[in-house]
Amino acid sequence: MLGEIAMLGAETMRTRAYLLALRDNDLLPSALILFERPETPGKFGVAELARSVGIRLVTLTAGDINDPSVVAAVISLAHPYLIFSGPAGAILRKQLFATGKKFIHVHPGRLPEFRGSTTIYYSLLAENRIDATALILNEAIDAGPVIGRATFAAPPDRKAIDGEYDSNIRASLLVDVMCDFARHGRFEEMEQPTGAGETFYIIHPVLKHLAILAS
Amino acid sequence: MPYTYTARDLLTEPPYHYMFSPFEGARLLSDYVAARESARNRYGSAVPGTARADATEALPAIGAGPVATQSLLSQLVDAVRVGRGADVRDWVDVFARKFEVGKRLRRSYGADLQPVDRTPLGRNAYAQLAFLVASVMRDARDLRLLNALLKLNDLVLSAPELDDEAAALITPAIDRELALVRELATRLNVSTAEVAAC
Repeated sequence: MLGEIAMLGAETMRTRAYLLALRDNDLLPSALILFERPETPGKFGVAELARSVGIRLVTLTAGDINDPSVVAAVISLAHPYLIFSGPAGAILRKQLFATGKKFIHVHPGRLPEFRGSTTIYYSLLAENRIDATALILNEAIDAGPVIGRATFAAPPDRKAIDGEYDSNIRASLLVDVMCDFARHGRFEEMEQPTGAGETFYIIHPVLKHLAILAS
Repeated sequence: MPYTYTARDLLTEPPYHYMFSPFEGARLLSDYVAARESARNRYGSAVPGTARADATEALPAIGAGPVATQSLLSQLVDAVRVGRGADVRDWVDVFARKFEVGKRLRRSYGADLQPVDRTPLGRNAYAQLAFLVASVMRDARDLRLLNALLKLNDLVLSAPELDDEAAALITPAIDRELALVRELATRLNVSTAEVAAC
């Protein structure tokens, strides 16, 4: 386990994929704050998985990832780094950044060119390629310093992108950056150029279908 | 099958946020084209609008002061109609972002572009923005604006009926949107008959 690394995760397929990939590479975080929304109780067995591998687990139910209970739990950790794996669409606000912790996120797009939401599809439409970027989050969307990059082949069945594929490519890059951290004891942070790139919003179904049906 | 995304009124009822939209196969594209063609046939006879006599007035600079959204959108539409499309691009980007984030345009914004009067605008404001987005887009590589245009046209066309002003604005927006979707489909080798027909 990595003593300096914790995770702030939701009960999602992505959090499960992260933990499984990190477990398989002996890179598990040593603590997990597991966030659940009241209306969407967990169904991916993340808590059970965390317990089974001996991760210190704090479970919280709140309506928002920036809830004071989450902030307090983050402050209570001694870990300087938290892997962020929140629910879809969750954005960290200043109260979490004010804790002084560094939040590690894997974004499914090449930065700075493809910031924002559903960028896998935009990248397929624009360049027929899929990238992921690991970064340290800051208050601007997908604009923090980059700590790792990877390019992936599109899946043979593009209908799988929203499911396991998205989680698995992020987990793959997360393993790479955690492996570097375990080896060197630090992340190599590269600032993004300011003013570069575009921010995309949730893709319209027509564009999504074109990305999936493209040959 | 009806095109799902205009099946209910997206202005009077909660908006779509389009998160994790399901894959429906090529049928979604044919349903989309049929719905847009139907709207085109329904509203295509609307008389195109003309610019006001004072359409040459200077546009406000972004951040220079508060803006009344409806008035500014009308000014931007007029600017496009007198051939000053290049002048409106930055404002179109601002309002397209506002729409993408909240799916609603507010009555006024401050110099910092945050809402001052949060009253949502009526449907014709979205028809104006759709017209503006369609007017400034260069080609189908402008995916960010094409995405906004598709959502704007969904919202406008989800109405039971459009008045003449909205109809005149939305017709060129539909034409431009369909042309750009076809351009993109051709580049991606998405060769369903349904898309080729648009």
